[in-house]
Amino acid sequence: MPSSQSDPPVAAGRTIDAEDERLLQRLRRDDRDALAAMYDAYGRVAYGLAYRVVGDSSDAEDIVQESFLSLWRQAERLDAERGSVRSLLLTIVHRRSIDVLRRRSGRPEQVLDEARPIPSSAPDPVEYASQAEERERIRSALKELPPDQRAAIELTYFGGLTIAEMAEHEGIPLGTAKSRLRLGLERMRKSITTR
Amino acid sequence: MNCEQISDLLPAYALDALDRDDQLAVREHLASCRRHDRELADFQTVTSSLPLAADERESPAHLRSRLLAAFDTEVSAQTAPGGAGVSSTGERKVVPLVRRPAFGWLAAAALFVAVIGLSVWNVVLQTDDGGEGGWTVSADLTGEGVDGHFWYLDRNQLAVVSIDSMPSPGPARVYQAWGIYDGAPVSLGVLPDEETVAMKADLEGASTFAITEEPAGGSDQPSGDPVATADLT
Repeated sequence: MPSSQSDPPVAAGRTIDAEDERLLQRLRRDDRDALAAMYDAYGRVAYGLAYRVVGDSSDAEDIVQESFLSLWRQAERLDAERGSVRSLLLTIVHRRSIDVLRRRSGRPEQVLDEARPIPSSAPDPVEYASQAEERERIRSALKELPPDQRAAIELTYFGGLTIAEMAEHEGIPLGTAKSRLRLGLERMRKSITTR
Repeated sequence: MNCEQISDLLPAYALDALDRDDQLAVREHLASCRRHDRELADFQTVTSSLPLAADERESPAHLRSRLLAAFDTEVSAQTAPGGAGVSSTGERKVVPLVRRPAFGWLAAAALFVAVIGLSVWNVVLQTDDGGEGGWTVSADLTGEGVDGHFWYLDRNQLAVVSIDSMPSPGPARVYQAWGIYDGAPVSLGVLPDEETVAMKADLEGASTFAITEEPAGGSDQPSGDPVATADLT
């Protein structure tokens, strides 16, 4: 087992830099310490996301464990320059969480494509601010949305509803549901990129 | 779906809020159409930050050690000769075809699927007509407890298997892919434990794509009935 004790643990809230790439390189070598460092950096946010979606600590633990292992298994084909490791990890956590919700309700699960990178043209907000600042920014952006748009995003992203299910839940036509998601995301993007 | 319909679904796609059929349709379209990159990237700027809207939670103290123990178990299993099997977590463990091609037990490389990276798959599609009409075959995988899809592009001899769920193979067992030609199976190789696998395979004349469970290392002939098949006709 390679040992990299000399490498400092990744600090939560740091900006994305060569640290992610170094961690990925170490993960590709099955470096246990790199996995531990990633967990120390992102475990809380990963667990918080999983728990928010599934609302159950046991399921959230399973999701977090398997998401970190999945990140390691895919490290060979991940490119840190195309999306932060944190974004990739949390994408995995989110999809696994949604799948747990859908399994519970007997709905078809998603097609997992966990290595799908965030396109390079998408600015990762981590590049611009610390994680705490980013957290405040995204929360404010969500809070400032009109209630119907905020509900649409929360019901789908955190509630695991498909857009058709969300439309039914809200008692609105599918086209209206699509509009609410689009308008909400566009408004949030403007908000978080101009603050 | 055309570009306008895809664009209509992009916000929900970015939020993982599409049903499976729409999700597959959008993904297939995006693999060969670059017009939506900017718009999708804009939406993903938001969705990549949305996890932070959830409160951080202190994870249980045992989770870190549990994670590392599972990692140790999986690494140990992979480095053991012939060590294909099931991870401690009950999932199919990684067959290290891509990650560790130098290990001795992979010397019988002809048995293994010639896996190509998904990035290569995307490049192939981008330089091809690809898209909805580009696939020679697009068929669901069928089998008990199996949920997945199979695509084949004959001009590139490119097969892509996406498996959402399939029962785990038994200990020291693997899944092996086959093309069935006039009732005769021809091995396409042992599948690595990946949700999506792209492989080079000449399936011209094959009537069926099949996956069987075999002993670690694969077999010359299927040793049992397929656990999953896709109709290529």
